[in-house]
Amino acid sequence: MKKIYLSLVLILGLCVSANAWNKDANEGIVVLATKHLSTEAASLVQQHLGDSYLDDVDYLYALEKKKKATHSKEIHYLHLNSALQPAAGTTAANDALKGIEQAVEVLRNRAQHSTSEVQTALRTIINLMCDIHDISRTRIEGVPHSQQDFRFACYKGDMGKRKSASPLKWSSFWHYYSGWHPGFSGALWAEDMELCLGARRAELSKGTLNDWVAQIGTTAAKLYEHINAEYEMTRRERNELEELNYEMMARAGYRLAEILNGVVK
Amino acid sequence: MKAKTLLVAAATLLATLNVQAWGGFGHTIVAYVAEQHLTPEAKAKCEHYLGHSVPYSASWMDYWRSVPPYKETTHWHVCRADENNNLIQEKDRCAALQIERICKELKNYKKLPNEQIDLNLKLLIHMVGDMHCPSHIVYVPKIPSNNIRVKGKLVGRHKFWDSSPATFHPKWNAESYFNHLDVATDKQIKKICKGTPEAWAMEQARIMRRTYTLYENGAEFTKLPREVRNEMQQLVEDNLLKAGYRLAYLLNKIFAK
Repeated sequence: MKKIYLSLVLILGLCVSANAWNKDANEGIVVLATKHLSTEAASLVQQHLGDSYLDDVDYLYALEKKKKATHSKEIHYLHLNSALQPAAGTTAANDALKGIEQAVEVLRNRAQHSTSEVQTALRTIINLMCDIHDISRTRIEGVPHSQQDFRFACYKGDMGKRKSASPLKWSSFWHYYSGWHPGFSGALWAEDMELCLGARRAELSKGTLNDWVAQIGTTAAKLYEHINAEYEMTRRERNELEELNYEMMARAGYRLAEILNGVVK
Repeated sequence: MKAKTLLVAAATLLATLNVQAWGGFGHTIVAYVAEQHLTPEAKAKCEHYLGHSVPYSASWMDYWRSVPPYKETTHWHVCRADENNNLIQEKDRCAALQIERICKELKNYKKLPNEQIDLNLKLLIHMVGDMHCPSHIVYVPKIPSNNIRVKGKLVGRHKFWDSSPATFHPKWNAESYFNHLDVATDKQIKKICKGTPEAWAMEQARIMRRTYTLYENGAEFTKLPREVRNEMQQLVEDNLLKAGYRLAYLLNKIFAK
């Protein structure tokens, strides 16, 4: 019986944690990026993906669902060593950074690639740029709890009646924030991110892909220092971390625009 | 037995993972409708003090209600009405009276610190929504709750009405609600916004009383007669719009040139 419960919990957990954030929030990231594409980059996206680019936040997951994926599920994660540098031994099939790098190369040399390869590269970048900005997608060597989707205690309700926090998966915790604004379309998310963080766009998207990975790694490492399976998060901390999550979503959008603008320069 | 227990466990887990209520979806709709009816000046002022859009701030009060120093706000999500639908004048336990206090305070917003304006706006945006939610009028003496089932699952009265915007239009978002429902003329909107928050709460108390007689305790929603479901849907849609128009009216008045 216990086994059945555990597998049920696992299945439900997987349903929730497939995407970094919910579809509308991920679409918001892509809409935000499109607001900052250069004419050339916008035309590259339009030429290869048409108006369906918003569907591509799910591209790699859709392949996995259809059992057509040639990559491992680890492709949705950043793998870093203890110095927060890209870990050795990863490939474009099992690491988000390598996956993005490979797709960028295809886009840079797009004249030598087929249309379908360029489409795949664009879709891969869109999906993985969302993924890597979800803090729970960073795995750091020497930090055992970052290697798996651990559970910790967190207050999900808001009434204050509950005396103890309930177990929540690390990935579900970050996903949970996108449910804070039900009814938000991608356009509404993008509009608000721009309103709230637009003035900091240059700062949030400054640097190269490696700089961004270092920033994500440092942020995740700081959190992993105190948040582990024994941790009980207060409502206050839960609420305050929403700001960090929001900033990471905006970073994903602005950086996605930067990376696409960069490949057509 | 095993299968039943598993189903209950699955339903409970799913319920905890999908937070969609008037505390979420409905509040976003109300705030979005309001935002579309704000003057450019009021919209800019709201965004300046909130640091976010009006819809983004709509559920803030729910997330912070049990965190100090905001614990006192936990009683400001409802209005209490007596048997004549008059408001019970307990300032610390009434959304409408708090709305009136905040509007008075914000009248002189230029003299207030930015943090105070920000907080007051978040409270105002949320409470105007709450005041128009059927489960947020509390009657004294208490009316026995008429709980409801949806596809066999007991949802409970409060939760049912809280999550009703998603029940009636599961595929809509805030923009769809606005685009489909915002058809009132200026004259109609003016009529809706006539009066004070206290008068609006009393009107709501009158209207919401009906929700206790629309169906019997334990009724299955999907098996209710079509006309009853239509009436419930109409009530929800009307109230979301009313709340949005009234919120815009208050904010426009506060930030009028």
